[in-house]
Amino acid sequence: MAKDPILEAHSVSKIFNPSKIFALDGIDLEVERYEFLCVLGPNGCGKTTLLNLIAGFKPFFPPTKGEILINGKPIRGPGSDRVMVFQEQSLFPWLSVRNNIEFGLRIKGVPKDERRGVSEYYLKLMVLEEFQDKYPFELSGGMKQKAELARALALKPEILLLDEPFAQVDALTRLSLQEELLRLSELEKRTTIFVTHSIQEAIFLGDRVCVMTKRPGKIKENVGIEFPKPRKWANLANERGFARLHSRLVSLVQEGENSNDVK
Amino acid sequence: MMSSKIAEQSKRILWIIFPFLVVLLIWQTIVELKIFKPYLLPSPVAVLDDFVVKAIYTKALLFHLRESLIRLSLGYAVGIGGGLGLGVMMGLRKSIARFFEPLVELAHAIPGIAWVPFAILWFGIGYETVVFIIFLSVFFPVLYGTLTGVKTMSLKYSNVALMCGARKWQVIAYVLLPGAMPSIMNGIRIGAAFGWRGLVASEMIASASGIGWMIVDARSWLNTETVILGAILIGIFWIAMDRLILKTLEAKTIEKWGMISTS
Repeated sequence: MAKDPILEAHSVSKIFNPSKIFALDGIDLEVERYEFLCVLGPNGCGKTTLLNLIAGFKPFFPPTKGEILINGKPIRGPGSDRVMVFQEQSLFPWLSVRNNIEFGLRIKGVPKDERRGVSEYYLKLMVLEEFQDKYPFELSGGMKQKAELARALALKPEILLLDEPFAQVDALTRLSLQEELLRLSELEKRTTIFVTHSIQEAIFLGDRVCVMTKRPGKIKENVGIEFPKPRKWANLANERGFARLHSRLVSLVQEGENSNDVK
Repeated sequence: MMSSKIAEQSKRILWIIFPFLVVLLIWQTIVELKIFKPYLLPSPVAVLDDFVVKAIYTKALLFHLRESLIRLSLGYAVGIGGGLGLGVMMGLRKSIARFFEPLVELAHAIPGIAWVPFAILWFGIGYETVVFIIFLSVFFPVLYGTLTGVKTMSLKYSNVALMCGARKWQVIAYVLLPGAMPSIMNGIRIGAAFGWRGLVASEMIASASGIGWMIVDARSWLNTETVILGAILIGIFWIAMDRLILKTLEAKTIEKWGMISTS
């Protein structure tokens, strides 16, 4: 039981209409304030559906059954307290990197000088200053993802929702983006829910890994990750516990994949 | 380096002028041979002479051009505004779109000029009929383009806006319209070209002024040099408009964003 849960999901199920796809089955989840939770599962286990439900996006929202509470209040739709970084590129192609980062603030009516200050800060944090006037199509995959992250962070969300944000970047860029993300989440206290199908990624980033089973998605097990933060790939890969944790998660995922094949 | 660039440039210009010179030379030769009567084929000099007289002395040309341009601006303004407005509305509401789509599809396929007889019955000879035809020629391509753009735009962009806390009008102004811009620009360019043809044609049939009428009127007086002059001017004006206004607009928006449409 979490002491100070920022998010609670109570027996949340989702059946899509009209396709009748049974995506989620009775999800119970509590996320502690400032926790970094990784949701791990194979493709099609409903982890993206879960994230979109939390974000409040149609056609995922509302759940067919159950409810999701943020700070004890049920969510009604999308809101800037929960900001998502999508799997595929979703920067606005018609805005420069800087204006993409400032977009949410502009929507909120934040005055120009203040917006500048915020975008300046995140451009610097992400080492994107050089690219501030470039348009998304001029950036590499890793750069885009950083800009995407900067845009989300600039909104100062209570919960950051990340849907396999590094799936499209190459393996090496991925490692450095993961380290970057950890550094940022230490820097600014924030609750993060990170969806991934990479076991290493989940161990490296998470305070806890929540393993989901294949469709309909259920939570199979929660595994706490005790490695101290900040973590670095160079050190973590040598930790003795790492291999053990890895093989445990592998078998959990595999059991989850087979569990529904019986019927 | 610099001189070679200038040489390149002048060579390019030369190759634009040269074909025209050849045509003019052949034209003048045929006139000199006196194969056709002068009222059937006036000399290039006579056409130039006519241009000087009408542009500088009688200023008749300026009057007709002004008439045409006023009609054109009115038709364009109403057509583009209306097409954009209805297009966004249809794009937002699936039910409205489903109802209008087949109708628009058909209307889009009818050349504006086909409505001239109908417009004459309603509005008589003059401004209203010509503006109405231009309006129709522009309205449907713009509507079609807007509708396509809004409909095919990925949901993720409006989701980003929604999670920033955007209101409906903000989603339209900051996301839908810029996102649909490649398709809208496509519609505007097609519409503008149709509108230009609609202008000339409807002035010939249903007007007593304007560049189209000038040509028809000159024909009835056997002022063939004016007929040729008018036709050439119509071509020059369209090229100027397309290059100066439409191309610039495109370069300022979708080209800069890397969003050049492939359709």
